[in-house]
Amino acid sequence: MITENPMTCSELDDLLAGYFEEDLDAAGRARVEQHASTCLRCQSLIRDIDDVRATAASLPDLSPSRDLWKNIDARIQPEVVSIGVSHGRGISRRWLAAAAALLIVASSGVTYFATSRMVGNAPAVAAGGSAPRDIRLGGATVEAPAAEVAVEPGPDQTERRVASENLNPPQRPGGEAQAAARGTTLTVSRPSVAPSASEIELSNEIRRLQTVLEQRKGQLDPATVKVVEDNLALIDRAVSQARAALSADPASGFLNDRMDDALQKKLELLRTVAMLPSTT
Amino acid sequence: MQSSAPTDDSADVALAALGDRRAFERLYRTHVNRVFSVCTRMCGSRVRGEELTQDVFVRAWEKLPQFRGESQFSTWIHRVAVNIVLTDRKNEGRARRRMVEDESETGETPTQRASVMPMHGDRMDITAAMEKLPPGARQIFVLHDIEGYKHEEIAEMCGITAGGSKAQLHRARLLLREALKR
Repeated sequence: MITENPMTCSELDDLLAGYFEEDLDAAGRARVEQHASTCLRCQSLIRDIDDVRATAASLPDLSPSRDLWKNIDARIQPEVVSIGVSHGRGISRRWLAAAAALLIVASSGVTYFATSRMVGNAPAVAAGGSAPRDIRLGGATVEAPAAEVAVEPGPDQTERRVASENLNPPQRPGGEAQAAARGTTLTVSRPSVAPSASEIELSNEIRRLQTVLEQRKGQLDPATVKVVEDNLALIDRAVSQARAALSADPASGFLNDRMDDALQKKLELLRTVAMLPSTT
Repeated sequence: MQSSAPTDDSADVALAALGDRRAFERLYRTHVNRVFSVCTRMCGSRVRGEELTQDVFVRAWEKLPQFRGESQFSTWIHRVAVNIVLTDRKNEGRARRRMVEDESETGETPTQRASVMPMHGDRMDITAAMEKLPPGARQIFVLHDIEGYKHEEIAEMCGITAGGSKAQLHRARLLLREALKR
């Protein structure tokens, strides 16, 4: 009986890649396997390559020799706060200019107030009868009535401020100065900046989403809620800084853009949170 | 592709896309080992692997707002890592003005050669042997036999044909077999 074994080791070598990649048809595979079953050299070759493949597939993940995060953190740009004082990156020139302008406006108001008191006009008592308090501007402390000093709102006041602007009609130009001249009150505040239609729309949407967030807090992971709240506080700070700067330079396209950016970021964050899956 | 334990990154991905660096740090902690592994094995150097891993996460941070969630974040960042390593190799090749093909070079720097990974048994052998592979063959071996990419995917990523990928892979396996038998 004649046994057909036409395949040589060299031929097997040529077919081996196709064998492992399963590119051979059934007849081709059968020929390779038949040859290997009778050839120690080719049997060993196939077994060794199988071992290499199995070892490679089971290699565990490696770990860096050091924590790489610090370097990465230093290289990535802060995205949330795009105006004013950023984390460790100093203060932009434009923001400094805006802040300086704000300081001038506030200082002028305080000076006017002090002067008007010295010339013996009626006592400067706020309409609400609040006691005077200190305001701090650039490290200097100036006494002023409390109720109407509005230099820079805190983060939690930002949206209320936007809301009140939405509801109240624009103040008359010069009204504050007239009131001060009458000696009945003093307002060291930014000039009235009418919010844009888009700002009003954003603010309304933000308020709605903040209500959703409050309702969903119990359903979310506490760590996630903490991150969200920290981010909201950060964005609120950016909003209030932009608003304060806008009071000094209402026509600044840059500041208006930053204000819109900050409100948009807040909106996006709240929308994302509203869609997060519940932990329960 | 090697499957790691499924993680629900969606909240952190969403927050990081909005600029939350702490959320991004959590993503980093979750995925750094896998990213570092593919970078290191593809380039053949732990030192360079650490540098490339940083590049990967910086790139991911920049591109995250464009991540649409059509795949797992782990899959997406893995692909970012592969692309970074491949681009790095191209840039490195240009810088050195190589005139020879991968087949005739090892492509190793003294630093790379000095950074053999301390592992044990067969794994130590295959890891050390992989570092001595020609860069092209090593990358395809890592992508196919370790990371589980298909030849068509590798061909697309590396700008070669699927047949070329198969040929390189077979060559890598034979070279590793020889190295391991010594």
